[in-house]
Amino acid sequence: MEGRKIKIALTGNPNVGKTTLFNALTGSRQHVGNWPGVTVEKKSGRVSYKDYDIEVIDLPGTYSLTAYSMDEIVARDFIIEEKPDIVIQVVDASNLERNLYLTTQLMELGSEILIVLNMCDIAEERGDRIYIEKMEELLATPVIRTVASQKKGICDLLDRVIEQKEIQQHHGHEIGYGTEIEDKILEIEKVLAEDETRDTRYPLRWISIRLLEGDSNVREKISKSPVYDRVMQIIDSIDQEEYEAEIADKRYLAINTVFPQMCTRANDKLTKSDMIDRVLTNKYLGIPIFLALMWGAFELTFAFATPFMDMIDLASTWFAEYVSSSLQPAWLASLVGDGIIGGVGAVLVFVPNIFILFFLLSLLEGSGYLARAAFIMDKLMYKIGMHGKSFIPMLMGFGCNVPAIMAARSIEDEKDRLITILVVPFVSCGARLPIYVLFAGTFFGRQAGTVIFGMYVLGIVIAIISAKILRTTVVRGKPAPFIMELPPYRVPTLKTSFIHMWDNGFMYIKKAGTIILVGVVVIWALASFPWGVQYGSENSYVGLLGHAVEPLLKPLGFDWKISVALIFGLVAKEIVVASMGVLYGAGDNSNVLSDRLIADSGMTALTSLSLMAFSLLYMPCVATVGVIRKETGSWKWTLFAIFYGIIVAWITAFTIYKGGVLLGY
Amino acid sequence: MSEDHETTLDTLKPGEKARITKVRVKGTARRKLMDMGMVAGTEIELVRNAPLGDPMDYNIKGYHLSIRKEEAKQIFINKL
Amino acid sequence: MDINGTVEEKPDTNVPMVFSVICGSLYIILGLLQMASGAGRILIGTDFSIPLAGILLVPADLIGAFVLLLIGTVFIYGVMEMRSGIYEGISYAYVGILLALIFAIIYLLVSTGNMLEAYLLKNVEFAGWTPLSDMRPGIYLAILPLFAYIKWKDFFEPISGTNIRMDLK
Repeated sequence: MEGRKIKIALTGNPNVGKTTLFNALTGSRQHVGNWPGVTVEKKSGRVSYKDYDIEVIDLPGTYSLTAYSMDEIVARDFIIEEKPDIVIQVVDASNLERNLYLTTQLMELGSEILIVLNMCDIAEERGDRIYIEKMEELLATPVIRTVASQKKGICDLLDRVIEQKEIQQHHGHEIGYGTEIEDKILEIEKVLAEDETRDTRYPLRWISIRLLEGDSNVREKISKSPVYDRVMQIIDSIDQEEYEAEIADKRYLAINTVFPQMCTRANDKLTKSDMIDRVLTNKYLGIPIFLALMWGAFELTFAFATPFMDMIDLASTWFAEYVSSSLQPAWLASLVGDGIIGGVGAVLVFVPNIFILFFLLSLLEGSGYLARAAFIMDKLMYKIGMHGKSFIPMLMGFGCNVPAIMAARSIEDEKDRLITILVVPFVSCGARLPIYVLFAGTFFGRQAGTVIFGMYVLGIVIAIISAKILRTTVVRGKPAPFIMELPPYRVPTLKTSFIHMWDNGFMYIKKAGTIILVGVVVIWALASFPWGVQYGSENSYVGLLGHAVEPLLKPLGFDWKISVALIFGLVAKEIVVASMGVLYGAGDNSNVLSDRLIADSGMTALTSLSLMAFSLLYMPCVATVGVIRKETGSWKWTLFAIFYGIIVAWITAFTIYKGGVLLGY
Repeated sequence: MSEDHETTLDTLKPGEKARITKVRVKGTARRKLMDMGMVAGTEIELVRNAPLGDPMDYNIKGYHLSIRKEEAKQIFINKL
Repeated sequence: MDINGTVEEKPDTNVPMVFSVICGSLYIILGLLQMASGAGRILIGTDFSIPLAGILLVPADLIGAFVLLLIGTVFIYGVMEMRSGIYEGISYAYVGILLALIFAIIYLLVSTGNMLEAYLLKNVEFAGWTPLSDMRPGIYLAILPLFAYIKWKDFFEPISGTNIRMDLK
C-alpha cells in the first residue's frame, strides 16, 4: 500500500542529541552521503508509521543559520529550497536560551516548526524548571518532551508530525527589529519585489534581513537580479556592523522577553561536568592526561587492530594464491591474483584501523572530550598556523595517514581542514618505519636509533614549515577564530558510536577503495608488462620507468633500482623494502639484503639518508591519495598534494645529498 | 549600572563576572560570537584558562564558551 | 555517569581522601618501579632486572609507567586540595577512578588482540604467550578503583547522554 508522504528535516545545535533521535526514528534504514558539491555529511532515512511514509533528513548541527560555515548554508538552503513539511528542532533543555536563537531564525525562514525538548532530566536535576504549555503558547509551536527509555516518545512525536501536517495551519512568527531597521527591511523588500524573475522560494523579509546583516551568500544569490544595484545602494548607506549587532541583540531580546516565563533557571551549582573539567583542564594535569589518553586511543587504533589486519592480510594472500593456482591462462591468474585481489586486500587491510578510529572519535566527541582536546592544544597549534582541532589528526598520522586524514573531518573551517589534510602525509606513518629500519640499520649501525628518530622529527618539521608556507601562499589567511562550545561531559551512547563507525567505515571502502584499487592494478600492470618479463624486473614497464626517471633522481644519489623501488612504494611505503629485496635478489631475508646493499648497490650512508628522507616525504601512498581525493572532493588539491610532496621530497633529499657531498662525506 | 570603567574581556580573572558592553571583533568571528550569545548586556564569567594560558573558558547564558585572547581583547565589558 | 547532576550536600571528604591516599600511593610506587625497570632496560641492557618486578608483573614499559604515575598524581593532587579544605578536591578522586578504569580497559583490549594473535593466528612473534604475559599493574591495580566505582555507584549512576532511547518496535 502506498502511504502518504511526509518530509521532515531535523535541525538543532550540535551536541543536543539530534543524531540519536535520527537513529531512533530511522533505525538502520538510512543513507549516508555528502551534500552535492560539498563534503558536509548528508543523512536521510525513512520510517513507515500508520498510513504515512515519512522521509527524515538529518541536517548538519548548527548554532545559527548565517553564512558562517558550509553546514549552516547547507541547512538553510535545504529548508528553503526543498521545503520540508515539518522542521523538527531538537532543543537542549539545559541550555534553552541559546538553543532558542536558532528557533528564531527557523521561524524567519517561514518553516513549519516542531520542537523536541531533550535532556529535560539534566535540566531538572540542576534545578531548572521548564513549563512546556507556556512554551507552546509563547512560541506558537508544538513542543514535545522526550523521556528517557520510553517507546511512547517516538510515537508521540510521529503523531504530532502527522497532526501538524494535516492541519496545515501556518503560524506567523516575526521578530520586530525596531523602527529604523524595520524601515530598511521594508525598503529592500519593495525593491526586491520588483524583480519578477526572482526565486520565490526565498521569503523577501528573510532576504532583506540577511542583506542588512551582511550575509555574503545571500548577496551572491541575488547578484544576477536586475535590482541588485539598487539594493546595494541601500545596503551601502547603512552602518552594517551596527545593524548586525542590533539584529542579534533584538533576537536575544525577543528570547529574553519570553524566556523567564517558560523556564526558571537554578543558581549556579557545581555540576559533575564542572568537576571533571577541574581535573581534565587543570593547569598542570591537563596536558599529561591529554597525552596519556591520546596514547590510549593510539594503542587501540593500531595495536588492537593488528590481529584483525593480519587476518585480512592472511585471507587475501590465501585467496590470491588459491585463485592464481586455479586460473588459466597465466596472465589472467596474475591479474586477478596479484592485481585485483591484492588491490582489494590493500583496501581492506585498513578497515580495522578505520573502524576503531571512528568508533573512538565518536566516543571522544560524544563524551565532550574532543572539544577539550582542541581547547588544550589550541595555543600550540595556533602558533604554527593551525587550529586546535588539527592536533588529533596530526597525531593519528603517526599510525597511518589514511584514518588521520579522515579524522580531519571534525574541523569545520574549510581552510583549516585543507591545510591539515595537506600536511598530515608528512607525518611519518608506521609503514615508513621498515624503510628506516633497513637503511639506518644497514648504514648507521649503532646510530640507527638516532637516525630513525631524526626522520620522525624531520617529518614534523616539514609539516610545520609546510603549514606556514601554505598559510602564506595557496591557503591564505589566519586560522579560523576559536569560538567553541565546551559541552557538558556525558556518557556517549554506544549505539550512536557503532552507527558512526559503520557509516564512515563504509564510506571509506566505497569511495577511497575504488581509487586505491585502480592504483594497485595500474602498478601491477606496469610491473607485469610487456608480458613475459619477470615481475618488476628491469625490462618491465616499471623498470623502464625507473630508467626514465633516473636522471631526475640522479642528483639525489639514486640509481634506477631505487627509482623502481620508490615507484612500488606508492602502493604502500613498506613495499620499498620488499622490492629492494627482489631487485637485489635477496628475497625476504633482510640480513642478506643488508649485505648486498653494502656490497653491490654503491649506496653510502649519505645516499641512504637521502633515500630515507625522500621516502618519508614523496608522494603519499595510493591509499592516502585515495582519501585525500575523497575528503577534499577535488582532484586539484589531490594533485597538489602529490606534486607538492614530490617537490618537497626532492629539495630535502637534494639538500641532504649535496650538502653531505660538500661536507666531504 | 555601576560606574566602574570599561575594560576588555581578556582582563577578567577566573571566577570574576562582567557584563558585555560592546563587541568590536571584526569579520566572520563577529557574526559567530553574536550567534553564540555574545551580545551587549549579557553576563559573562571566566571559568578558567586553558593549561597553556590561551584560549579561555567562559560561562555565558548558562553554557561554556571558549574563545582566544585575541578575540577577547576586542570585547568590552564592565566588571560586576 | 550522572555527570550533569549536582552535588548539593557537601559531606566530609574523609573517606574519599583515605581512598585517594591509598590508591595514589600504590599507583605511584608501581609507576616508579615500572619506570626504573624501563629505564634500566634502555641504559643497562635486557638482562637488567630490579627486585620484585617479576612478582609484581611490572613490565619494562616507560609509557605505561607514565600512565601509572599520572593516575597516582591525580589522586594525590586531590588529597592535597581536600586537605586544605577545598571540597572540589573530590573531583580528582572521581576522575582518578575513571582514568584508572579507562586505562585498564585499554590494556585488556590490547591483551585480547594479543590473545587472538597467539591462539587464533598462531603468530610466531606471540609464541609462548599466556594471558599472564600481559598482566600488569595498570590492570590489577584498577581493582581498587573498580570497587570504589561500584561502592559509590549513585555518584557514578549512568544517565544516557542524550536521553533518547526510544525504539520503534
